[in-house]
Amino acid sequence: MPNKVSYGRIFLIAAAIIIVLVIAALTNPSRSDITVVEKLTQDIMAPVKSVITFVYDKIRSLPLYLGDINKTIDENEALKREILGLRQEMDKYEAAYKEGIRLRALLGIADDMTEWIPVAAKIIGRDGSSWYSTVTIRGGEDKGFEKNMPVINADGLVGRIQSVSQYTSEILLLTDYGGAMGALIQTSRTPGVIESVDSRNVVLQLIHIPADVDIELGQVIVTSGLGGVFPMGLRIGYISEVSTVDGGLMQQAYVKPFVDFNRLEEVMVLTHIPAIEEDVLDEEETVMPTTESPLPPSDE
Amino acid sequence: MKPKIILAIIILLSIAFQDACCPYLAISGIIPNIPLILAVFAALLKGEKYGIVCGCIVGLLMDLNAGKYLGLNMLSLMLVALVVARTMTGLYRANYIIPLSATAIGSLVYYISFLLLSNLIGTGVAFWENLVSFSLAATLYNTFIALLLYVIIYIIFEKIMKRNIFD
Repeated sequence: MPNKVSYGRIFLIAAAIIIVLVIAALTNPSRSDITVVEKLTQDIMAPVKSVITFVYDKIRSLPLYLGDINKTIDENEALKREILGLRQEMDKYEAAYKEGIRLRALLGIADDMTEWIPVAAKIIGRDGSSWYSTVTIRGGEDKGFEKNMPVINADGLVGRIQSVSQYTSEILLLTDYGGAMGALIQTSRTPGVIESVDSRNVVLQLIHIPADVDIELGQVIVTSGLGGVFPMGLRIGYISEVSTVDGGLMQQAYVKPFVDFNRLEEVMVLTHIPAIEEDVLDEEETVMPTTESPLPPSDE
Repeated sequence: MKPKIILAIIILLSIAFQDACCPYLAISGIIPNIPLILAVFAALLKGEKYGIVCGCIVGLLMDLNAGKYLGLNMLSLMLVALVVARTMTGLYRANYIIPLSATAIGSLVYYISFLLLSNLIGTGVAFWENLVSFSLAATLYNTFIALLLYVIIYIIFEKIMKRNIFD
């Protein structure tokens, strides 16, 4: 190794580092779309990750499967009975849904709301770098996924799509530092902003709440619908701790998410469908979405 | 099989394994970093030039795979390879203390450099919080994983890939 290092070489290395840092800054998650090279890399990695995830899942679930087979049979029976009950419930909600559409049309309320169709997707990988809270799902442009589409599971809000390649999508989880969004307390309708405090230990906080608002532990936090990314009313979590900040002028609340981010296996991407047109309302029997409402029932 | 192909397969598998399995090995949110360990061992076993190129490829693929901040992992892993190769060259590599020390040094260099660079370009990753609560624990975890992986990687690099890909 030569000891002499020319100034020219140092200059070249410094210039290369600066160029790389500029590229790094330009390729931040807020850009409109990822590059072709990134899409290609993610599409190449997707099948490899799928195979590894599949094998790993099988190995992990083998002891559980062998140990819990009797429990699973009982659970299966109970679930079948529950499905029967839920079907009846669904019929009632379906009738109410149709009535809502009819009344909205009668009142002539301008409806610029978009309806959503949930599309299931399997998680094939997580960000292993420790720096970002993201997961990779199978399905991208091929399934009609787009950047910023909301992602949920049965428990509540999971996050939103950060980038899409041909066959995979990257989900920015609610627990990422860049995942802040508008939220409100479900019962009092008090708005605030929810953001991540500690992504590794899954801690969220609701900030910008005036000091005169009564906050109780256990109150449910839902999306506010402001910002245009998330529909209103998606369940986020519940308040676990409240404190006063800014010399007593504001409050902030720690929020425990409903979703268990460490055990995510499948999620639902809320894809857009066009708003229901008035002429279609006449044939209301046919306008019912084929899937259930993406909004989980409230706890209240 | 040609050494270049073997290296490419190992790199791809390490990154896929990192995303597919390592999050499940997390202890209190601390995830081991397999591609980092690979770059450290490449520098230790094959020298500076090989290590830096390996770190560059692994880091770039990690960045492309993550789809954001292209180059942060690449620069950090190249620096890791450089430091490991410079500090560990000439030492007796069959002694287990050496690869473990190399992993510990490499991990610290990686986490510090990544945090510095990411703060320089404003990624929003908290510097001190991560340095104190995460980097030291992750370094220990990586060193433990290196203990398990060293024999496998040593055999691949020294026995199967006898010929240096730059020869």
